[in-house]
Amino acid sequence: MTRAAYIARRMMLMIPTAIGITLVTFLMLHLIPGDPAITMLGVRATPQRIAFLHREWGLNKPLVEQYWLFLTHILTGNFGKSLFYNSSATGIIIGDSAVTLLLIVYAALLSILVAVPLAVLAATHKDGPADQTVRAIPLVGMGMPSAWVGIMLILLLGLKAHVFPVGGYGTQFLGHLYSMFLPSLTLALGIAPVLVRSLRSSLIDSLEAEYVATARSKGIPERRVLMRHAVRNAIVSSVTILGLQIAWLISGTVVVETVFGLPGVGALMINSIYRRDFPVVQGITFVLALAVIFTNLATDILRSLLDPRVRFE
Amino acid sequence: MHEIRNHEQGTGGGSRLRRREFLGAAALTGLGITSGGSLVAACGSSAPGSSTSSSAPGRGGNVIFARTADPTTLDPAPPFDNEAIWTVLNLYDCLYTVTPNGHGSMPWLAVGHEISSDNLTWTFHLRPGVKFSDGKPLTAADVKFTLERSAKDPNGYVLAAVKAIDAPDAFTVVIHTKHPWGPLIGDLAMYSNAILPKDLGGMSATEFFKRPVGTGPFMVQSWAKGQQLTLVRNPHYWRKGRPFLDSVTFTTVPDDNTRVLQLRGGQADIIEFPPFSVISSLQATSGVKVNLFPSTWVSYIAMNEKKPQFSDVHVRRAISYAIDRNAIIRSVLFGHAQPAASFFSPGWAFYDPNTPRLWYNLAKAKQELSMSTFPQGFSATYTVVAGDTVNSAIAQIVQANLKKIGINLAIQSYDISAFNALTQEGKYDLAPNYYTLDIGDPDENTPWAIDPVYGGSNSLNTWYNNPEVLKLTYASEHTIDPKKRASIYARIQDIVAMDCPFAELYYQPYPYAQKTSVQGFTTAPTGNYHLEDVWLTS
Repeated sequence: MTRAAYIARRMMLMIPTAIGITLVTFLMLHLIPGDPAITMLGVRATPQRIAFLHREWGLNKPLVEQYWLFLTHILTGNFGKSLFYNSSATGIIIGDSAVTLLLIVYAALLSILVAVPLAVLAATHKDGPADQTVRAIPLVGMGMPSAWVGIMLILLLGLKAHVFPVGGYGTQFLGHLYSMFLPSLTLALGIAPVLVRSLRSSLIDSLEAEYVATARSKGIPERRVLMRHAVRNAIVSSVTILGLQIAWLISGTVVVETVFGLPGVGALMINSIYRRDFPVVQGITFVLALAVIFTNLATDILRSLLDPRVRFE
Repeated sequence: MHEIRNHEQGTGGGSRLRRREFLGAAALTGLGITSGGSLVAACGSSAPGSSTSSSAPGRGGNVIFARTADPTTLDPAPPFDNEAIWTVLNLYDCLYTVTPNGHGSMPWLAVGHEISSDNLTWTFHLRPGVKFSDGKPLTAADVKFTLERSAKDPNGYVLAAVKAIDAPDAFTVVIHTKHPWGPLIGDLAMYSNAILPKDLGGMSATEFFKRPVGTGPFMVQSWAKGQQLTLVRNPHYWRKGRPFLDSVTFTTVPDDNTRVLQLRGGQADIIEFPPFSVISSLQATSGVKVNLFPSTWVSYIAMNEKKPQFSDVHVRRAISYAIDRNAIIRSVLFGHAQPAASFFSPGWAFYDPNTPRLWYNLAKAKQELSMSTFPQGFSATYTVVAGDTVNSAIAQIVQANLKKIGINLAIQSYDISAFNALTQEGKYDLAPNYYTLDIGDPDENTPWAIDPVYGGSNSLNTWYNNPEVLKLTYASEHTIDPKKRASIYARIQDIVAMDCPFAELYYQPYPYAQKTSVQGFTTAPTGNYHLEDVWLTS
């Protein structure tokens, strides 16, 4: 199968997956107790007002009809109207997705920046003190919940050292990068340990491989051997790991966005569930499902580009 | 009888004294209460805008105000959430505004009124020279349009007694009521009756509220929903020299600890509701000031009278007597609240401090239970909102308290939407909740609290029903004289306290923390703030 055919087939498979996810979310939201009208009206809810809002929001229609409306709207990129904000759910989700997307990309880049040098250091000094240290520290890092890491970073780098802001989103691109350094680092520290360990072990394998010995025997400088021959081969398996980690990051942003007060899609999701803002919850679920599916697909494609031996079946 | 009232509507001398007592008690517990002086100076019709502050306010700057939630809307008519209410009151003005002590209303876009001898016709005189933020003058036609519009919205119940509204000339508004209506001035100070331009300037509501036009101190510059709302100075604002700030940025930071960290890290200038657990550490932080503004907040435990146990008044009294409010206030609210007896808060007009106190008294609790149909006690559920740390902690104390009289509570947690639905449907035994008041008249809340049919909320979902209380409540609505209303409300508070449909727990302040560079920030007990009075020092 060619790469294009493979991608096309995977894209086709996305549709039933995404629809399945929206169906499950839709049913779960409507099965649990709680009513957006009562939540919005609070103690001032009267049967008349609740009925009025239900009519306004189309919640008085049968569930099947509501779900069908939602599906047909999605096809036009329209998630309906947010009950809470009384305006387009799509607009709100897109606005908040930008924050989350930046957070994830930023965190992924930071984690690579942290992981690659550490893994190279450990692999080239295998079983030495440097290797032991690099292998031990991530174990501690993995054990620390991101909420706690975030608060520690805020206390140390925000409140004590005053190097970074402790929250907020910033303005302009550089402002965003500056304001979002701590939350991105928090996420990066969560996934870097896994990357370090996988990259280290595959580097060790490739450093012992015959093609590396061949390269060395041809007199290629060690630095070039390492970067061009060993790391390139070792990184293939780590790309898969990073891809899986990014899918995990998408859920991890919920905690980090809350701790740092970032107006991202994770925080929006939590608040919308509390408010039973059905269109927003369904919209976010759909977007997140697509994001995870796309990340997995992109990972596979990237692997095939890095490693010509990867075949599509 | 014609009378002109150019100053605040009095609520009787008695309540003033009580207010002072409350402030005294507040000062003793270390509450910082800023002066409402600049607001009071502006309330007379003669010299709006004059300031009594000792240091001259500086002009300019932006304040970043981190709040717990986004406003739901910028339309003043429909909202029920405080963030929307307190935002719209900085975009638009009402004819009257609540006084700094919360006990009455003072002229705002109106300068005064007369009432006909049959108490059915109210004539209001508008403040001359007021302009909307688009430069157009405020006229009586705008007021008529607004009140007729808001009467159709869910909050329109406050205008239910209004029969017709006339605008005989540009500065006169006449309101005819179906029957004498005591709370009218308070109702006109309700956010839902904030004045909008006639016909929304010819726009659809959707279009208009994207860039709304009002007479308030600020205008909307941008609103990224879920992220931030930026308001800028209204150049046509009628209070001369105000607002001092160029702009205000509302950010939404739901997590309590994150808001506190943002203040300490300098990302926020004012934060809403720091948790009581961090008040003392914030007070010790340099550059930070904590304010505990007296509020209209009443915390209570609702008892579901649809259940046989709680339809027995002796059981309800026994529960109230068994709860150790001082322990709750000491350990959960860190001393920053006062035990409650009346279902009115000291921040409400007509609050009666002499309401019977069914407070901690184990002997009385046991005696009441022995008089009930459940002398041996029983098991029941206590429903709280998951993640509500205050009420979860209180639940533990109440559970231990009630165990002593043989009532065994099982604590159940639900998320806020499920909690609201369950209490609304009467599927609960005991559930803690709270309410606040938006105006200087208790009538906004009283029918909700005690009327199981017409009040709207099934007597706050307790299904409490006492015909005498209903009769008194509606008698007070039909009474104009504040002194007479005060005595009726005192009677209502006494009866409700003894009927005990809610175990009143405590009155808490609105906690705010801010940088010390922020000056003039204060809230009325109703919780709203006049951000035009805020300025920054360098």
